[in-house]
Amino acid sequence: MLKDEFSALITQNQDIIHKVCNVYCPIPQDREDLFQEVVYQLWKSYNTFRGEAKFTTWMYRVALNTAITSFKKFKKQPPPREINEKILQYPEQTDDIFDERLKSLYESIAQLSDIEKAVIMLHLEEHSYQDIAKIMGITESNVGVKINRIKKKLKEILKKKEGLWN
Amino acid sequence: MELDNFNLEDIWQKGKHHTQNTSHSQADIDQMLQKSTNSTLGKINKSIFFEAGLMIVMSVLLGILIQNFILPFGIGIISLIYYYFKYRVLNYTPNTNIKDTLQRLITVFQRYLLSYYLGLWGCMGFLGSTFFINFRRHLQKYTEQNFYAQIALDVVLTSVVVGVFYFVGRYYIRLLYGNYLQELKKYKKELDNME
Repeated sequence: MLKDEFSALITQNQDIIHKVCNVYCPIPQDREDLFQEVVYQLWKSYNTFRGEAKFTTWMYRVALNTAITSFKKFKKQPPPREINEKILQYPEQTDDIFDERLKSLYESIAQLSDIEKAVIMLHLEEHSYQDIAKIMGITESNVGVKINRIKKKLKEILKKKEGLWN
Repeated sequence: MELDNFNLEDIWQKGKHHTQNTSHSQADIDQMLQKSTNSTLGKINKSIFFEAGLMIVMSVLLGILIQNFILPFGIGIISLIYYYFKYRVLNYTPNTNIKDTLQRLITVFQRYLLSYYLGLWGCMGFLGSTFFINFRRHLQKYTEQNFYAQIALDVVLTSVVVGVFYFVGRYYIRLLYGNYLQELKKYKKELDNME
């Protein structure tokens, strides 16, 4: 049955939705709402998926579209500076320097625009420039330029984090 | 490790196992699909059909009441256009690339807001003229003096009523949709600037 096939595929690849939710929702309770909304949108557009792209690439496209254009944005969200450790919950134990750096990376990504978040996330998830260009709707040659700019911006934000880099 | 040597890709990949997400079983996903009608979107969809039906019933009743179906027909048509766009905006399935999705949503949302404002202006015109006519009739019954003062008072009061209606309407639209269109345009512009 189509629904069973769909839910099995989503269960198998749910990490993709979780990653998108983590990047776009600083507030934990909103993540579950966005997760459900993404699953719903995926199901609605599942009959149009014809296997031209990889299933995971298609999932990223729908999930990012949903996160960026979500109606939930009407609700006021805290500005990036107000995003604190409790909200981000990355990672659970913060006594290790790696965990601190990982948390800082997520905090820095949270300060990017929604478009920049999508581009850098796809890059960090090791998507090719071609895939990123197709998902975003921009030319392949501009993807590299944009990624370098975002990485530079991220490093600028990370530089401000004291005690992590010495 | 110095920041210059800090590899974003490396820390992201290693950090994959550190996230604290709740894993959903296939049964959970099935349940989410079944519960779609209870979601916020489902509730809004139900309310759209309810409101559209109610507007049609109200238009027919108004027509019977005033013995004229031209105005109720107009109200009914405007309502149906409004609810059609509302349904389309809310139920748009994003299956294209992000830039195309944004462009499509911007177009649909602009049309939707235009239909909303046309409805608002139509109601304001109707309300203003009705209020002005009735107020004039009421005053003529009791006073025949100070004609210009009465006219001025009519204009002021009508302007206040229409103004309040307009600002309440605008406030309601902003309350419902906030700066959604501006946000969509901002994202689209950001993608355009990448080219």
